[in-house]
Amino acid sequence: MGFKDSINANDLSYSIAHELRMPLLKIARLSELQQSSRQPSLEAIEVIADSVLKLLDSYLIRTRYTNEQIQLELEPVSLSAVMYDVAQYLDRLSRAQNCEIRLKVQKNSGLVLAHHQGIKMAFLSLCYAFLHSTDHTKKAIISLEAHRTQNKVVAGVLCNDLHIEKSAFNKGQQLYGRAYQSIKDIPTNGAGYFIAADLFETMTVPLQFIHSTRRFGVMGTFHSSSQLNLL
Amino acid sequence: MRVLLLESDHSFAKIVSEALAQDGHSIVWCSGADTALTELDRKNVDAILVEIQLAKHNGIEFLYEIRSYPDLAKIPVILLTMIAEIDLQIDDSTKQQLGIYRYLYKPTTSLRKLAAVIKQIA
Repeated sequence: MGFKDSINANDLSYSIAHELRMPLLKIARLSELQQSSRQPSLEAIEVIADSVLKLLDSYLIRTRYTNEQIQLELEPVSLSAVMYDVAQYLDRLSRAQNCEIRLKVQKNSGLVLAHHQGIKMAFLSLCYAFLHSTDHTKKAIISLEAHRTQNKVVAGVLCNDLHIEKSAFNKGQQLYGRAYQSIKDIPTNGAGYFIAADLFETMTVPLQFIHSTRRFGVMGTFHSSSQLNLL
Repeated sequence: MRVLLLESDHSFAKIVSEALAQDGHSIVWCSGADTALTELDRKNVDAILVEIQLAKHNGIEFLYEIRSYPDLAKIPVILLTMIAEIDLQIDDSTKQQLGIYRYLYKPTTSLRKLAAVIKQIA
């Protein structure tokens, strides 16, 4: 069973609603704190609100593509540029969450066949989910990585401070929103993972769970070719 | 008062810590049950604020654990959680057994209200 088959739209909306409560709660409490302490927390409010907007954006795009069954037109996309944009965008949020975002893109990863906006949103959603899944037992390093293997490029997000496996992900899909203890290893409601999985699948890039030297992550395999890199 | 805050979200923990520090409390923040147990071993605390949704061991498991230690058994516990009371499924006798002094639902608990509840314990 593919990810797409098992994600129910209502469950995802429910999960998104759950996911949004925490950032909105923080905005409310930061505003309250600012009134009482006169400390400049406006920047923190802005960072949180921005991240919520991006999650909602990803959800809207995912829903539009899924509901209207729009086939994402694949085009040559520079993974390094997309990943750089994502890392830049999440820089302030990651600092607020005591995480570090790193880029590890092989120089020869070149261009891949993907949908520019779709892949950007998918990586953003994944990073967003990772940022909220770390348990802060140590400083989390979230790494956006891409490397080439013959005619393919493997790219995704890895983290040193969470353990996510396909079984946990599948369990999350069954449970999210209903269990009062969030599933082990996905402390959030996992909306970011599910959105990313959908977007990747729309680009016919299935997500895979990776375990590599004490790091866990989610990666996809993209088509690439030397002809494409001539563009 | 010294308050142990068991909360997995870093920035929310920071907000709560800042708010309680303004009232003169000192906060020991832990993101997981394991580290919280270690901190309780090292430091005396007057109250514990617990979120139930945590990675690895949940807040309820943590409470069962600390209630098994006689020296920690009487520390008042406040649940500060995203879980609605209707979904909590903890009856009054269990609450009593776990030493839960108050249940506070995060979305409807202002920092002022939280500070007031902590003050009641003091």
